[in-house]
Amino acid sequence: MFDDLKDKNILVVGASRGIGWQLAITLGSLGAKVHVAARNVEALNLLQKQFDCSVYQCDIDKDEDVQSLAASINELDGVCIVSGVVKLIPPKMLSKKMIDAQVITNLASPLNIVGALLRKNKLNDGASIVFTSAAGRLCQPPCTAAYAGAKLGLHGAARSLAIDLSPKKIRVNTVSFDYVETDMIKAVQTTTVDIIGVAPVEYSSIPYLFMLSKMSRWISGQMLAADAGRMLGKVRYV
Amino acid sequence: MSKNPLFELVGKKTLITGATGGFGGELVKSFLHLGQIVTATGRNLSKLESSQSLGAKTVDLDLTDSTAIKDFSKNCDAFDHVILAHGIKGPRPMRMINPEFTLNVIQTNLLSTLDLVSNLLRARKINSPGRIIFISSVSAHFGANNNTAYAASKAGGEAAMVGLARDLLHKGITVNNIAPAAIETPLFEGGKSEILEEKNYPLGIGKTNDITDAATFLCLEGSKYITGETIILDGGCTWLF
Repeated sequence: MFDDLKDKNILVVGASRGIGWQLAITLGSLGAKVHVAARNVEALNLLQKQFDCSVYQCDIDKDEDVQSLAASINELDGVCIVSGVVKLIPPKMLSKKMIDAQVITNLASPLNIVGALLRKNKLNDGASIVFTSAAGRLCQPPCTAAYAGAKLGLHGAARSLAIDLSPKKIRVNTVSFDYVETDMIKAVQTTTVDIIGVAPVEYSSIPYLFMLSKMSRWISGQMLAADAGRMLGKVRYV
Repeated sequence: MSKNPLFELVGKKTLITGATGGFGGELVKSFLHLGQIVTATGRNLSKLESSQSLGAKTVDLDLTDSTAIKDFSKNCDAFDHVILAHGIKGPRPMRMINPEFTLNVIQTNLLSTLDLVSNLLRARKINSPGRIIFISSVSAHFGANNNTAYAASKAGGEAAMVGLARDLLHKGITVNNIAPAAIETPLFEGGKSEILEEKNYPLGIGKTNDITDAATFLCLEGSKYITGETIILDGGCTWLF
């Protein structure tokens, strides 16, 4: 399964922890040439000790970091943008500063990365771009107006990019999760009552692998939710 | 490199309905290729022979026949993956359809699905963890000209799929749906086929392996947390609508 990813150049942005960290390791186990980027270069160096990957220090909110990443990286067959921040903000607390913090990191910076890579011709024909959204269906937890707005904005962006980049057969899709067992979730988690439980982080790699591989050759502009059916309404957020 | 258990299919036994059709036949081939024990059902026994010669167990089963479904469910193996690839097309202008025509389309595409799944569940023939995969059509989302009854039957299937996903959540049986646009199958060969013109598909013409790959993905252990989802498989054609 996913054997076609062997020797493919794939960039994972946000690989210093959580879903991105695990994705880099899983891609490495498939024999892909993995490029990892994040702010926290110490964490990336730890990752490099586990398997052979190329490390780029990059604060995606800083344009100069993004431009130098795009300038120095190999030509890519896949890009997974996993980076993101989450803060629960009650509606009365929504302020310009709080909103910007969510929208810049979760929406503006991923698009800036794609633009920079395209300008430097770093995306091969047939490449696959995968964004990370949140909670695929219509239901969002409370107090996530800024976060959900930014994350679902990525899906809209992916649909447009899918059309724009289709002449080069570059595909652009979004995957989304509900709670995955990472330190980020541990930090914000409200009490949930559910049946399936929080997904172990290993499972979060699989939707990315599908969207990167030729198995999804005919899929672009779509969102795939791996949310354990939570958005079917089987969970109450308390 | 050690094998990743998440890349393995959930189980060993697969049921594929509509195995005489374009998608069904290819699904049988690819699941046999993956080492599955495949049961293939269809209405045309002679057309099932190719599946049989490849190693599938074939069953002559008319899914519009409730008694036959009951018998089948009583006597069949328990399955890990159930792929519902049966169905008929129903192109006809709205002014030409009548209740008989509509009922036939809805019965073959929707009622049969519900009847089969219900009987399999009652007879405890779908294992936990397990996978159920519906195959609908982009017409369930975007409509299709002169295809109202067909689109309605497929949209009904999608609603049923989400309901079933909720019902089976606690059992670890995921229920998902693949909604393809027109894909190159023997059905389209030789026929009028402006529907399969390259220019209508930004990502090229769809092949049957696009369906089988999506179905395989949904059957992986790693897809455990995907349920109630529809994968729209359209090569970009629906952007052009």
